[in-house]
Amino acid sequence: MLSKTLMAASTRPIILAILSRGEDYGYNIIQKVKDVSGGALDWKDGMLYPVLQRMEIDGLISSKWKASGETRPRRYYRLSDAGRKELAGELAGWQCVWHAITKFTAPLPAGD
Amino acid sequence: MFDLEKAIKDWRKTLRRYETLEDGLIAEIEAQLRDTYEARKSEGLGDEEAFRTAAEQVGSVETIAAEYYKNRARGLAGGPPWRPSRFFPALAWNYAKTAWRKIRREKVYAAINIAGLAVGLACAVLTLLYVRQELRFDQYHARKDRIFRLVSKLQGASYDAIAKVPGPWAEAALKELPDIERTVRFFFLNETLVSRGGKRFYEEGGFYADPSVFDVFSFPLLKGNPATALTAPGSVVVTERFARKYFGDEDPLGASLTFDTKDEYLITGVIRNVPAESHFTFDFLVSMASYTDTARRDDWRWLQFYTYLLLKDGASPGAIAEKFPQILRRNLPEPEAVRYTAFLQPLTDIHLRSRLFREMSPNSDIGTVTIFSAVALFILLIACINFMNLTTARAATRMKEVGVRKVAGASRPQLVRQFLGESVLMSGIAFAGALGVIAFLLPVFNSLTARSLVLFEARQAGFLAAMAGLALAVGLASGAYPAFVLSASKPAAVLKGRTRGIGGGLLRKGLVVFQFGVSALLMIATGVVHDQLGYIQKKGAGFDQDQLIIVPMRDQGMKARYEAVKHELAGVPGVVAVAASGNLPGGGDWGIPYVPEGIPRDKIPDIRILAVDLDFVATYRFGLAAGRGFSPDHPGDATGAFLINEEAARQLGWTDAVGKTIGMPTIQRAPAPVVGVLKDFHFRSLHEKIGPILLFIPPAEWMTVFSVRIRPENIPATLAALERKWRELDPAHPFTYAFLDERFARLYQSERRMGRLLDYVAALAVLVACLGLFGLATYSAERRTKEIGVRKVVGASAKSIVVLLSMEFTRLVAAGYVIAVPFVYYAMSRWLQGFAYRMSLGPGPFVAAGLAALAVAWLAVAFQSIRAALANPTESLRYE
Repeated sequence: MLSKTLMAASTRPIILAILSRGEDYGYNIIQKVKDVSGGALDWKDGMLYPVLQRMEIDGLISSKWKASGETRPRRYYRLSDAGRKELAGELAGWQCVWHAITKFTAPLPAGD
Repeated sequence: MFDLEKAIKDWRKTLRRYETLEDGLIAEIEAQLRDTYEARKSEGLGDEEAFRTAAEQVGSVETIAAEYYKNRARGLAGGPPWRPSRFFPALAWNYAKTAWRKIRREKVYAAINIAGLAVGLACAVLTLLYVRQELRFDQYHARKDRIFRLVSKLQGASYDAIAKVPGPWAEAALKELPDIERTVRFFFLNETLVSRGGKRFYEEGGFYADPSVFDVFSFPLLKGNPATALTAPGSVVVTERFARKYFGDEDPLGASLTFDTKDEYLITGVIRNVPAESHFTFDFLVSMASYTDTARRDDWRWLQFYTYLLLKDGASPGAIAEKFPQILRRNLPEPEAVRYTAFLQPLTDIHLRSRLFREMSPNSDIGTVTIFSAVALFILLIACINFMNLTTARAATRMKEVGVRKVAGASRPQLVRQFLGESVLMSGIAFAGALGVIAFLLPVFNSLTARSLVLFEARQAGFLAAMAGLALAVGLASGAYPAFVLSASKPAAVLKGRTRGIGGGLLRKGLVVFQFGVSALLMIATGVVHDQLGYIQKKGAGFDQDQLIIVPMRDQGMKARYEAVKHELAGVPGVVAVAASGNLPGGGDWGIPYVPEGIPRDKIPDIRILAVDLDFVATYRFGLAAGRGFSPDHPGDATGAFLINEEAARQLGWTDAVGKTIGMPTIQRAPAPVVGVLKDFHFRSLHEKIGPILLFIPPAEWMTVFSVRIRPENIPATLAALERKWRELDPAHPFTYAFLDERFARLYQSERRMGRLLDYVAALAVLVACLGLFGLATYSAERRTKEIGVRKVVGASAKSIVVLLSMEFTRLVAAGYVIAVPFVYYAMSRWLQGFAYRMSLGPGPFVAAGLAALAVAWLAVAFQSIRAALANPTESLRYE
């Protein structure tokens, strides 16, 4: 399980990352996160939607309702250019954090 | 059977309750729910179970809605609307409207309330500003705790103690007492004509000073070396202000100034202006080495040096003072050494706790400061209590509003906040008003107290904040009663008209008594001070002070030919008489040892010397008790005659003084007869008892000043003519003059100032008290509307009702007055004891103040009483 603050901080970059591979809808996004993390990232499903709305207001993603024949209509989200830039920034940031944590927890070299 | 569509419909309904969840958003979440449901079904769960877990997985609808709200309302304050708030923005407007309506509907109350508090605050702020400055005197000296002034007492002198000591004292003390680190002496430099280039001014603000002045006191040198600035003869250190006057923006250091048209002084240092909070001030310091009269400087009997000692750390002033008699005995012959005692005063006590003879400049005293602070605090207290009193009294009329608000669902905390907010708003307006009043009054106040107080400066920030805090506290305190008591009332009872009257009648009455007591006290004190000042004016000095002008001799050469100059001046049109003298009544006094006939050496009383010429007695119009005055008809008087006053005859024990002889061996005057006895006149202020005075005619070089009596008509023309004449007689020195009566008036400056300050303070106290009384009378009349209606219906006349309402307050005002009288009688008797000549404390000011208090109280009450008495009873009884 992740801490609440880490969950809150990571939600947006994860959504950005998922959408960077193409447009998607809410239920699917949640499923992908669950699959990838093996259940460690356990979002309350309903909480995703306000986040998506917020990101849309901020101009990181855009949305469109689509109904494809046999399935029910769903709202699909797509990454905007601003979202792509944001993702790059987030990626750099998270790598930096990851680097720092691993560096300090790696065993010290032996000898002199 | 589980119906999925019905379950989803119900679930959707719970979503619709939240206004942030628009249909599109609900559809999206519904799609999520349905996908999850299908997933659960495919995992093998039953219909109902699958729906339950899916709905659970979606999470709390309320939380989701709140998240959506945040998206929408980012930047707005507050939470989502369905979450109960402690503050209703919509109601705030209502509160503001209610408060504003209340102020508008009750303009008079609001005005009285706000004005009263504003005046009280303004009065307190002004006085405290003044008091703060008084308490800051001399505090800026870094070594203030170790600096002491050496002062002396002389047995048999006409004064109690004098602020000066002889010159050699400082050196002896430094040499013989190891606990003294440094000493510094100041010696008044007479008015000097200072010139540089075309700029010439008479300068009064100078001292001779020892070089150690910069080691002892904190007068920072902006330019020059403090260690050497005042060591050499002919060096002078000037203040910035003084430097600017002569040099503008030029660098004055190393430049020279001409003193008295002949002596060149080199500027060796520039110091910052002496702060106003100093018990003495100066514009320039001349090195003590420039003082050439070494005989006087080293004379153990010549008390002319203000001497300050810097003690070593931890030294005890008491122990040092104990060793003074030994030093004295070593340096003075036995009889004189015993008559003479020296003691120390801490520097920081001088301004408020020292009132010695010949202070460097007039001091204040701690008593006046205490009285003024007390009075200011009283006025502030009265104003605050009035404010609270009126606010609470008026709150009773708002019971119905409280009832309606409660019925409409207002909670108690909401009402508490509303009432507190209102009263804080009022006190806030009052504080702003007070600042306005202060800004308006500060110049007046400054001219009254001869200060230059500033309200808005950095170091007052804390003080102003404290005052604002006080206003806030008063607002909160006065709002507290309606806030907590009214908000607790039961709406049903209130709306049915069963209101509980607000008590505290005794407290209110006590308040009226208290404020009118204080007002009466101040009015009486004001009356007494003015009466005594009038008495002084009427009693006069014992000679004709009017139209006497004083013209100092500037040119040393003029002294030798003063008779001729006198003659020239006497010929100017408008001049009645001219006399020359060495010193003047109202000015410095001289002491010269004298030998009266038949009195043993140790019984000779201390006497003041007035060194005059043949025309002096006639010019001043002194009254004669016996014999004759000096006169040009007896030219022999110039070396062979003396005059004394009645007091001198009394102290010498001469019943028939004319013909007795007096000698002055120190100035080679052989015994000569007393030719006349002058009626007693006041040499200085009426604070001092008339002392013995001896008049004689000195050598011409002793003369320093002309006294010119002029006609009362067309004074400016006479002055202009005198100036023209003067220019012929002494082209080098500008003509300067002063009116003698103005010089005398200056002796009562602090009393006059106190009188005028009291005028204002008393007026303010009466104003605040009247505002309070007016408010209470209004309230009382309103509360008794029904009673008055009933009285009128059963036949009471309007007159009897006015009397009824007025009497209620008259009794209270009278009680306050009666309580105040003994206090003020005691205080004013003590104040009058400071005058050797004083009026008797009669009933006059007491009666006048009593009548005035009653009159203003009636005026304050009359308006409301008459209105209430004249009202048609049907108005007040209609709803019964």
